[in-house]
Amino acid sequence: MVSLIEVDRLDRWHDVGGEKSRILQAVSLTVREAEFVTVMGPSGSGKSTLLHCIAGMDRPDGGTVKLGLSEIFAVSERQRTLIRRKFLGFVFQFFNLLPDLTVRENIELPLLIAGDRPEHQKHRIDELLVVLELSLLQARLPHSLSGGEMQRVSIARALSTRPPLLLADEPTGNLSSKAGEQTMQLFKTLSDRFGTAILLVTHNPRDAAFGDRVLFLKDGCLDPSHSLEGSELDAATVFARLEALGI
Amino acid sequence: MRLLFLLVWKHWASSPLRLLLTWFGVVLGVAIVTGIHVLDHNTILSQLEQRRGDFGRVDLELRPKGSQPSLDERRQQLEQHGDIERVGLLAQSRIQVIENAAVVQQVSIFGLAPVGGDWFGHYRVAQGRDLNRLDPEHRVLVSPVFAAARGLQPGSRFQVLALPLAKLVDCIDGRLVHAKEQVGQPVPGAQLEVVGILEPFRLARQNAGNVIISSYGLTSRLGRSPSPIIQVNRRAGVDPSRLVTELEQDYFVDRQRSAMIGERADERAFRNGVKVLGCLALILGMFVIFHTLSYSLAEKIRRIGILRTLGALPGQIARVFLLDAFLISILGSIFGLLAGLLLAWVLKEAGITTLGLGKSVTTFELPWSQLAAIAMLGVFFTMLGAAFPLMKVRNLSPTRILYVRDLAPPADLMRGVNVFMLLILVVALPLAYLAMTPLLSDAGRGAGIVLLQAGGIVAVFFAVLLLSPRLVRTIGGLPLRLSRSALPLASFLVGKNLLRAPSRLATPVCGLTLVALAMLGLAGLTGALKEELRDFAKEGLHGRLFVRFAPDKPLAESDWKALKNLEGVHSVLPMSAIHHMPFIAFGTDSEDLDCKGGALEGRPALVTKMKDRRCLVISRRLASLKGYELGQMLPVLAGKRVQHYEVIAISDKDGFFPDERAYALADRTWFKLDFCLNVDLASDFAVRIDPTRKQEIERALRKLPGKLAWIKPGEGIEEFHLADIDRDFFFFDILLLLLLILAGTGQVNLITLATISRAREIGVLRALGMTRGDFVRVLLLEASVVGLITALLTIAAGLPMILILIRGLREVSGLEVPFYLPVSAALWISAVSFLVAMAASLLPAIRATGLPAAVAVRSSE
Repeated sequence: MVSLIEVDRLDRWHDVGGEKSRILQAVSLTVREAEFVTVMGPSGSGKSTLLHCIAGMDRPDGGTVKLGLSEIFAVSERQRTLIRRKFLGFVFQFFNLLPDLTVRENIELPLLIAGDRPEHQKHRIDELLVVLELSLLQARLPHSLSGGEMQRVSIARALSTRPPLLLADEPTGNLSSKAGEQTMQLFKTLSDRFGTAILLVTHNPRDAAFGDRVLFLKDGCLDPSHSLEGSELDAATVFARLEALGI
Repeated sequence: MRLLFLLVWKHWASSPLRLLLTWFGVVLGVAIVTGIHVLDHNTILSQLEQRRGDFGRVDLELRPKGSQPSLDERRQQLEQHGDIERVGLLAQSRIQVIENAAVVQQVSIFGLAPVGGDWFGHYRVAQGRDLNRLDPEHRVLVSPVFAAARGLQPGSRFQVLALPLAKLVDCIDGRLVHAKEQVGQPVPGAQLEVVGILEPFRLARQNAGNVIISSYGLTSRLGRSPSPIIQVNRRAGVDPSRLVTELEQDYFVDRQRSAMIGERADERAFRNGVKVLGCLALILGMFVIFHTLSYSLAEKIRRIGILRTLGALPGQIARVFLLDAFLISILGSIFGLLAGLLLAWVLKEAGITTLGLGKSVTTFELPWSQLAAIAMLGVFFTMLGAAFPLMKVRNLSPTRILYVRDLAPPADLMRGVNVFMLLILVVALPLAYLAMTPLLSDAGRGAGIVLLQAGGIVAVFFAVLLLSPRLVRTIGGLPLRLSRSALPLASFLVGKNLLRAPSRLATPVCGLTLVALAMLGLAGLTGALKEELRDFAKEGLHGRLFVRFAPDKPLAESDWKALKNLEGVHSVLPMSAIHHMPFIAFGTDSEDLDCKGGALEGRPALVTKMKDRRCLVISRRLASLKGYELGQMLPVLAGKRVQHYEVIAISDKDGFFPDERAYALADRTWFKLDFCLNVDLASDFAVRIDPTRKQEIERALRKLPGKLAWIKPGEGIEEFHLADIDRDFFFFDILLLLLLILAGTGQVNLITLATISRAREIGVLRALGMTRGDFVRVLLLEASVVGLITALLTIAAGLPMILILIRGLREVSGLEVPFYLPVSAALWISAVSFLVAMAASLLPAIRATGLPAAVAVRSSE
């Protein structure tokens, strides 16, 4: 299988009040085509920073990130943006929908940004609306939606350009338990249906268990030997591994 | 492109109020400037057309003092004069047309040099061709009326003869005498050939349309050397007053037919004031736009972060916001132009002009190139206003925008924006505006320096305010200390706003202060002008009656001498006027100037001197405008001879009649000798009286044998002129009112933007139990802080600025205006600014409190 993400010995420091603190320490990971990988870790463990570095939105202090065949920090900011545009979709904890665009317009927005015509991708958008159960909401504005609905719009938006990779930053963090579970189920379905690779960071063991592989991030370190994968994966197993790691 | 329009359109649709207010700012700014320009253009055009009915575009007409140097040498000297662009000669006379050895009609002949090309726009050729330098002297142009009467066509020939000499007269020693016939000299005549027939336009309309235009030489010969007139046009931008003063050393300068409308010192001061206000409107309009766009951009910073994470390039984002600004500015400029035209039309219909009231505007022509320049200036500076904050925003990383929750965009971004804006508004915009609309004065008059000083004061205060948040916090914190016990919650929240975003409060303060300073400046100038008038009235108007008898039934000397014997009458001055000295001069009785409060009181030697020699008592205004001094000998053209009058006193105590402040008095006997004026009869009088006997004296005046036209008491004239100042400056009041609306709009806009951006915070506060009333109190308290800072700043910056402006008024107008501090005006203008600030906060307050708390809390931006 082709690797979509290759992270090698990633380091990231933050300057907090004049003191340098290490957020990521020599983190290495790989995500392959159509793979659903979750990164598990408590708040402040560096999960979001890892995701931003992979997306090319935050420049690491050491190490490399390869998206497909491109080493993203070896190219210009403009090229990095173009890679991001073509290669990945991003789902946020706080949805980040544009408030004055309708549901459909929000989903079409990445197509417009990429210079594509939404009507050329009508079937794709309609399919996403159906799969994500947004067809009846497509003319509504974000403020009239529930949290779960907003997150579904956010996921549809991330998938509208058919990116091979989806990055999700605590996508259920702002949702009810039921909506969160539905959203995670949706990620699983999408990964299976569209063959989209997903890298999702979360601090919820139940969410993490939806992945094909779970990685554990503690104090900026990610030890591949602690990862879980395959049939052994469920929330209890993840929780047990967390306890074993003292997370 | 579709992305651009979608985002812009959606942004507009999401907040029509924000869009409307931003757009309104552009509209109002452009409308005021357009209105001023169109009105000024048509005011000058109308005045030109009214005065140019008979003549072309001539700035000054000069008549040489003395015969040396020769006319050709003078012409050469003038052509080499740095301030003069064009020089021509004009001779004018009448000649006779001869057919079959009989005189068939008289016709006016105008001789021009250089011939052809019509430098001054005196005529237009309708048929045939124009004269040229190579034409022999007998070739001429004729008017259409004359051509029709005589059946002339191009190529036709006709005979003319000079008038008999006996008809020429001159005033010599008080007698009108015929010029000596030169016996034996043949009467000059010529056969003329028509090369072109004129349009019925300007010179061709003189003498009931019977006109010939020829070379200067021919007219000079046929007219038997009529007095030559040298016509000159100054170079663009040359100060006409200075040029006139310089030329008056060698010439009698006549501006009767001058095309330099609006170039008189007082007119220039007035028009300059209007143009400065235009600049102020543009600055204020752009100020509102700059801040609206900048804040709007800062508030949308989260949206920029989202777009960046979705793959939008910085260039794409820039295009969205630039398109937003461009469309607003284009639409604003178009509607601003239309509104400006409407404003100009309404003002024109109301009889208001850029030369004050009392002038009529008969044309409504649109100066398209200027209008296009105004619109482009508006668009350009609006785009510039949007560009700079955008450059700052695009450098922020999307992660920082989306994840650093405590990022305070306004505080982070606005500081650099303010520096940029100050540079643009204080330096670039005025320079661009003044390049397009130069002030009517050259640098030598110091007007520019005064403007720079006044602008400098304003700029320093603005710079301090916008660039020093601590100052805003300190001043703004003062009223909060007072309100803390009565309004603890509102004081706490406004105090937090002061800490978080002081520049958001400083911005409306600057806008309002700018207008308040302009209002205060106007109050200072009008107050100073009124003080000057009151000073004059004390000397020259109080305790006097100004009396006019019908010109066909004037008063004989014995009658006005008898009037002097009435009890309560201190003096009776006959006022026989001569208007072309080149100032208005009155012939009067010298001995009556030596009375209580008179111009020559207690100076009998001067009275005697005035009777015995050609002397003048001139007014202070005349001395100031023309630079005349005591002892100076002023050359006066009397007929064809030059007489010199000595200035023996400068005083306003006598001689005013009835509305001209620049005048001179001479003994009436000299007017008889030099101008053959019948000074034994007079129709105008200035009567100095004991005010307690006013009614008896008026009754006596009505019983006099002449036909009384009117009696005006000096106090009444003072009141009229005081009201006249208010009427003249009414135009300024209208402009300032519009500017105040513009500043208020800016504040409404900023508060609205701030309220929208704080919708979530408002929702939380509401959810925590804050009532709508509480929220209204917060906004009103914030507005009162703005109003208070504005008031303090207006007084602190306004009073020194007024002193500079009054000095500028002295420089530009040449008037001896006293320094005057309008303390009461400063107080009421501060109060008005305060009220405008309060009123401007009401709309956003109502809007924000109408937002349900649940919706506000869920607001994602």
